[in-house]
Amino acid sequence: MKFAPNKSNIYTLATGIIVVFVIILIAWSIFLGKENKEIQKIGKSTDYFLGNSDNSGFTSSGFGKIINEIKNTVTDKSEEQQAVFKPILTQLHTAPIAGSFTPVKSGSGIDYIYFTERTTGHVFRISMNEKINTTRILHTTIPNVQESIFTDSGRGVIRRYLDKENNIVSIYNPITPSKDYAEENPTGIYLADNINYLSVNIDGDTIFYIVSSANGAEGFLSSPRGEEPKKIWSSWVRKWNAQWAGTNNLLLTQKPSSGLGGVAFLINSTKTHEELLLSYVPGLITNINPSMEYLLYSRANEDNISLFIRDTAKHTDMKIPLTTLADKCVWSNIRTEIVYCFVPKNIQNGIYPDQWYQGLIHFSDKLWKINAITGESELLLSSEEEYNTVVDAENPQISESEKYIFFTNKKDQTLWSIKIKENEKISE
Amino acid sequence: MREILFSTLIFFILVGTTSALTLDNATLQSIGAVSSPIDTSIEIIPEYPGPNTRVQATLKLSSVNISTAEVAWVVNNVILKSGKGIQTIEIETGNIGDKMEVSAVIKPTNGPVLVVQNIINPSSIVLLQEAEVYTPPFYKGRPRFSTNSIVRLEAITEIAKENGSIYSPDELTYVWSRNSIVIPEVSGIGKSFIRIKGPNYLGNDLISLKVLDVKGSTRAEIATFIKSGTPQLLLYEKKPLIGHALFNAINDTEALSGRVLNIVAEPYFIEVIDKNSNLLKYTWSIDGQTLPVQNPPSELSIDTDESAVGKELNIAVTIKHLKNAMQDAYTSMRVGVSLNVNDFGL
Repeated sequence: MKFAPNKSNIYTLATGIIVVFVIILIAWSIFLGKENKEIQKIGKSTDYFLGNSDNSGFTSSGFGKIINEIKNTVTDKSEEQQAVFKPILTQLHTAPIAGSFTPVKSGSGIDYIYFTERTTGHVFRISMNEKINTTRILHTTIPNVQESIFTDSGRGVIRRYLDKENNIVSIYNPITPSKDYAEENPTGIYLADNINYLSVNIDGDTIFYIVSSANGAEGFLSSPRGEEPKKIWSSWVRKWNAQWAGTNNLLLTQKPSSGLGGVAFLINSTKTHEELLLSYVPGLITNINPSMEYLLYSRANEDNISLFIRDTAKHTDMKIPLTTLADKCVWSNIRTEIVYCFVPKNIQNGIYPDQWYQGLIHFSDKLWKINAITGESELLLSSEEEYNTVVDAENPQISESEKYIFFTNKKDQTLWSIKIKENEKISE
Repeated sequence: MREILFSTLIFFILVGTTSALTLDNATLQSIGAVSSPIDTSIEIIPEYPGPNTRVQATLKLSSVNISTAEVAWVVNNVILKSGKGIQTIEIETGNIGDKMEVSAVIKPTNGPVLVVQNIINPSSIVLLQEAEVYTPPFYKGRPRFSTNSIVRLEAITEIAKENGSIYSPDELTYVWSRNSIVIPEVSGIGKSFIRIKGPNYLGNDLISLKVLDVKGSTRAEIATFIKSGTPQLLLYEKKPLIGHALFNAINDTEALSGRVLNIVAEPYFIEVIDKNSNLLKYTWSIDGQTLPVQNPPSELSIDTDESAVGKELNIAVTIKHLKNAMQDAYTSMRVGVSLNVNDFGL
């Protein structure tokens, strides 16, 4: 009988070879496992099989390397499973603060948080080492500071307060002034009056600020000292929020109010082009990630709050099954698709976000991690259950190493951190 | 020749091939088609679509039974869809400046071939609104409209000219209406932003806007409701070093501590520039007893003695707007007094 090599026969033969090979592999790995157990029992090294023996005379074999990689992966995973890191909640400063900042491009290897004390206007820096260390780094007193914005990666600060006539005053100070500078500017440099909104770019060397008057809102770019202001934008309506997006873009969103349609534009600081991103979203709050790939936004109508992530390239929206306001979230700088959100445990009846901004309603938050690609979310910390502590987070920030999330507790304006990752163990 | 062209067209219609097809006058004449006959049109919904928006084009014609007619939809000279009785198609508009010519070629069971056309020129319009009312400095929310207050409206348009460039707001005519009645005093060329008085008590005004190009053609339309609301009056603590604790409003039955209690009234959404404006008359009372006018009028300072500790004070404040009676506001709080001196601000 002749063998006829048709397609069907070739497939059958190939399948047979693969099955035999897989059986041999399984048998070999069972044999190796038995051997390994035996060696461990009698205290011998497994390096012979892993190709790392320095006294056997054998050099690393390819097969040994493959097993080594498999062993490491499994070990890492089982270690991860055995020692799941539990996030740690810490109150960093017990007095009310007026603003904070964590550098994300220092390259120093240490996470820092800078903050301004509300009562004195003094600036402090905390280094988040094994031992948390707080240092007062600016002693120039300004009482009743309402807001502070850090510039130049923490080397400057703009403190904002109300004068007796209820005008907003904004003063720039370098954190460590030269002697000449301190003599020339004993109280700091005054920026324009009644700056309604102010934010600094990621490099800390340019500020965007909005001045509102009867003629509407005007947006300017300048140095943190207010030098050479350049008007780049204006609007007849006066109340806007701004967020730097990437290096040269600004996301301008109308201030939100429950049920009122909000509009968000992206403007380029070097051109005057405006790109409409969202319109007529009730109670719109936006939060774009640093690479501008994803736009997190929330809509709110009375106590009906929902959260979405927009893929800015695909123009698709994904509803996130968590109920929170987008300004209670912070994007990762390392993994652009990851966003951390403080999510209220319960949303009581109310008018959001208005009554939260007014300080009339406070939340008890849980910290969640959300993946913008898959929509998967993971609960990291429930402070009320785990620490018996109620926190209502605002102004969340993530440290350079992404081990810490810092936030201000809205109810008392104190500064807190949540350690979300363990320190890397230093190899000996 | 005429028969050949007609057959070609019908072939495309019957086969449904997506092919280039120029529906110029010569072509139409050669097949004896009747262009844009009376009582026929293509209705576009939405009427003035934005860029990259899905629109519905529907054939409106009364003289022909469409269900039995062969219809070919041609978009920018490309047959998009064809077959018997296709009355509606969905298409997506392009960017601003990308005009889209939508045609329907109809072959009734008897009678001449009909051709109907419409042009979609996408435009973008956004209407911003904001009330001219007081909110505290550094407040993160938007001022809400309250009865009879002034509202600011601004239309931001992107409307393309024939050559694809964008009209500046100064070249366009803006026709503003309230409840479908034109407001001539704020309408006109370049009037892209306006200030108008909002509705009365419990009113809900429909403010609409039509934007016309230099030829007088309507190019964009938008409308929004403005609903009357009421001001809100909230109380906060003021501490000497912290200042106004606007992050935490005083809630009813809340316990406050200190020898001196400083309480600040914040009238959200009231029509003044400054909360201590002469237009507002504050009346404070404690346990029903009216207090003299405070200085500043929005702040109340209470000296508590030991006899007050553990007691509850009923603090009430009324604000009367001297020019707008509909914006009066009132609040009252029962506040407990303790002498647990707070570490901060005392």
